[in-house]
Amino acid sequence: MDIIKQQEEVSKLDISKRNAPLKVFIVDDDEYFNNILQSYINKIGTEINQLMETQGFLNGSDCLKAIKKDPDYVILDFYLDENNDITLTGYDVLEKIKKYNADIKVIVISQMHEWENFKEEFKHFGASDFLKKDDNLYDNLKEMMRHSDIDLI
Amino acid sequence: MKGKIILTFALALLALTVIGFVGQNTLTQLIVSIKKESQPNPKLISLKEILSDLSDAENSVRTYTITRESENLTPFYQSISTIDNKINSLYELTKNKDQLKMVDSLQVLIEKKYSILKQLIDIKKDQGVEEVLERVLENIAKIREKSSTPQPITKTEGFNPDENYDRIKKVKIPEPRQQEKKVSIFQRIFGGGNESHPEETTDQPTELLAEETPKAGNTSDTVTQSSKYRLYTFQDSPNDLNSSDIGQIISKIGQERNENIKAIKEQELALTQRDNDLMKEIREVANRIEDREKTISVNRAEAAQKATDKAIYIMSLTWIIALIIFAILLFIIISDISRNQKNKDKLKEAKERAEKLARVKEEFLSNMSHEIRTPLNSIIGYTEQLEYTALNPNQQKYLKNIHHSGDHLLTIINDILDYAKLESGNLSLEEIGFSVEQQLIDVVDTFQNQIKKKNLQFHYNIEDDVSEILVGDPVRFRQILINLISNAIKFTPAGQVTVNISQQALEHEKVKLKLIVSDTGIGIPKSKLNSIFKNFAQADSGTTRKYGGTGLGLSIVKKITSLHNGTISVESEENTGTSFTVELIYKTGKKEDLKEAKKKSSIYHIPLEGKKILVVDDQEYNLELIKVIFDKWKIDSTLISSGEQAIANVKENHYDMIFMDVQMPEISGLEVTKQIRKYEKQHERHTPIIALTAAASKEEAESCIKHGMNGYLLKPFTQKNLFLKIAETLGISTEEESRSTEDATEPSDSMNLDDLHELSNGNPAFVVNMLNIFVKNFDIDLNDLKGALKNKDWNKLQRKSHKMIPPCRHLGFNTLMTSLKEIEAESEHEQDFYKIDKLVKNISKNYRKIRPVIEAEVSNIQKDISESAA
Repeated sequence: MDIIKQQEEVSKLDISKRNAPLKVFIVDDDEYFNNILQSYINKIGTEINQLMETQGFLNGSDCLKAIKKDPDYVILDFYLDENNDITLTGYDVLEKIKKYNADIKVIVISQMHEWENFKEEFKHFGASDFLKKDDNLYDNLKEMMRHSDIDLI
Repeated sequence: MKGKIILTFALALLALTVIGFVGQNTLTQLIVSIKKESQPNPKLISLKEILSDLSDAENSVRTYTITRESENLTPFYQSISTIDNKINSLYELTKNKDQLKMVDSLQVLIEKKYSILKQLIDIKKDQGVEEVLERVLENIAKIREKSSTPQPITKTEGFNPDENYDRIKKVKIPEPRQQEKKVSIFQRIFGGGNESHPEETTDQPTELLAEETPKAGNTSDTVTQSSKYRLYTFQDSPNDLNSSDIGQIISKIGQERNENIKAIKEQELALTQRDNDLMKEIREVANRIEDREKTISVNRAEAAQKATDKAIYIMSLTWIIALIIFAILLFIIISDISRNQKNKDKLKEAKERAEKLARVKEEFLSNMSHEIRTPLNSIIGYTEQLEYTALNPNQQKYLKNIHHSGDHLLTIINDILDYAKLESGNLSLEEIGFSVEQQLIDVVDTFQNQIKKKNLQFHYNIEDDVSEILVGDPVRFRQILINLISNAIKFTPAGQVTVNISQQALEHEKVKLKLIVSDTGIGIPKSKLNSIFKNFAQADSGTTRKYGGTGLGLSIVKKITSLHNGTISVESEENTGTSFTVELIYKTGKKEDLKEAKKKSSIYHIPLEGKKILVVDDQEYNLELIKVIFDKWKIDSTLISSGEQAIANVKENHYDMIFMDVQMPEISGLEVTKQIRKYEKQHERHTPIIALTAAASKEEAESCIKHGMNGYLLKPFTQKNLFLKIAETLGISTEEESRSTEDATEPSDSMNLDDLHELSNGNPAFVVNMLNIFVKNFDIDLNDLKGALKNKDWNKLQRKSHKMIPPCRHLGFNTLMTSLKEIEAESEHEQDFYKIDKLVKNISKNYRKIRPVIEAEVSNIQKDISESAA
């Protein structure tokens, strides 16, 4: 955890250097993948020359508690099932984030391929995009970030 | 050879026949001649009789002349009457022409003699008359003395009594022999000038014969003359009865008488002489006949002698020739036999050499297998051990290749050995229960990577009626499957491979299992279809270059199939695909038959902790390998490289079990075992001894057991084999972990840290952190998974497995990921507990292998960090 904090501090330092670091929340109940995603975001940040500030949450409620930090992006694992918390699935979290601030871009991520067909459905619910957890995740994510980056500027 | 012997016997028979025939002939000839010799010669007898008759006749005539008694003449007349008969019988007896001639002359002579004798008799008779006259004359003389002396008759003088004398004398004239010049007709006809002596001898009788006729005429003449004369004198005498005249006449008559008597006497004498001469001649002729007869018999004897000599000559000649031929043939036969024997010896030698060669070949194979398997054992064993150590991905990849190559090499060696065993008929089939499906799944699993790599579709279908459990040799069944499926995959660049298994029930709980492996590959040209089952044959040599392989696979399959009394057939079309159909005969089995096989596939090494095991092997590498494994299992191992030391160690220490290499240079493992057993017998101990052998054949391995060992472990062995063998020997139950440990030899997933390292931005701590997170979470998740499975919480199973997938993918643990995905899918739809259970066990098994790798990596990196910090 110390290391993660260290990393966060490093990101914070980057953010301080740059004017507006992008705040990215990552909600995934798998700690490993959560970390991976954070790393990916940071990496993408360095590659596209954009300061990134990432924060990982292992469940939806933690994320919602921190929502007041107004993240630019929330990467949300749709399949949040930690502790059988069926009250707070990916849907609920998405709904709540959008309710709080519709500007927050939410990228839904899942590895259930068949859900790809629900891409439009997700968008209908307010998600900006849909990501598959596959080998191309990084590239797709990077592409998304770049576009959104352009959007921001 | 046979012909020669028959020829020899035929010759022997012929020779014997000739000898016998000649011998018999000669013998009969001899016997005949001896018989003839021993019998009195009838010719001679009759000749003698004739002669004796003659002499009798003569004698009687003599007696008669003396006595003048006519009864004395009876023998004479008798002889006359018989002599003809006798001569006739002599004629009959005589066959020789010479002798006939002689007998002729003899007859003539005899007739002459008889006529002479008759003459004599006649003369004597006349004389008798004259004697009466003499008495009359005497009386007259008496009267004359009384009166006057009668004048002798003068008139009678004119009668010229001298004529009588002349005539008598004339008779006498031819007496002296005037032979020679007269040659008879006989002589002219028969007498050749060539024989000088017989001419002389035959001459005489002919001459006599020729001479006889006139003589006989003469004599009869004289006789009649004289009687005429006497008659005349009688007529005349009474004419003048003048006493003086009478006296004169009478005296004259007397004178004449006397003269007459004298003449008669002379005549008689001459006749007698002639008779004698005749007799002499007769005797001579008789003698000659006799001589001739003797010569004949001598000749006959000589002829017999000659015949005998000839016979003996022929016999001995035949004998000698036969002997010589015999000898030659015998020599030929003997030489033939000896040549035969020599050839036989040569053949035997060649056979022995061939057998020896075959033995050498087998030995060579078994040696080769030992020689190759031993280092291979090290290679595979160490590779296996290396896989449990922390390696970076490249190293993992290299190691994987090594392991794969090692396995491949082992497969090839096993193929070759199997082939050799099949070829020599040394391969025997086991009778073990096995599950067809399980075997198929296991085999397919091993090909999973290849299938995936080639992007092939693989389907298998086991028809419902196929018995779940069959009794047979699962190893060979697998071998058939592996060969056919690997061929199918190898020769199919794209498309699908399908395995279909069906069954047909036979009598006596037997079934015919029909296995069809078809592919959509390159196919086999029609012309090559026949040769693919041949040894070392692939459709063409180009195939070998392109696809590799020993070309033994199908011929092994074919041989195994025929061992099962099964059939194999192939249908193929070029560039469309090939379909192999194999039919095998198995017995149906029950679940119980399976138990043993199941038991084998279990590994759980905790119970082995603290066991004391002695390992004897002269191969350092093997020893070390075992030590590495044993250390891991916390086994208290003692490693010894020589047999003698092992014996000493066993005497001093007590071990739970002993692993013994069989082929050791100084003392073989078998010998060591023998000595240990001997020692143990005295001390009432028994340590299980397991042979470590690279034996090529099961029989060879079984012989270890005969030598007092408890079991054997074939080299190269895997860690799992080793564990199972120890567990089995020490009677440790491994049931608990069964099933989860199948295919422990499968290479574990290689860890892919590329992405992590990239993400780390050169900060190794990040990688360590991530790995730790992974391990921590995976432990928890796996337990959750197991818990969910226990509760049959399908939903949770699905979600858990779903969640576990991404990290595994990220680290490159594909097997784990595949299993998790399957669990996810399975728990959502089919909810097959058995299958999920198996999958979960697979995952935990895999994870057990992966975890040490991760931990090692973590410690490695931490070491690096601390080093760089220092």
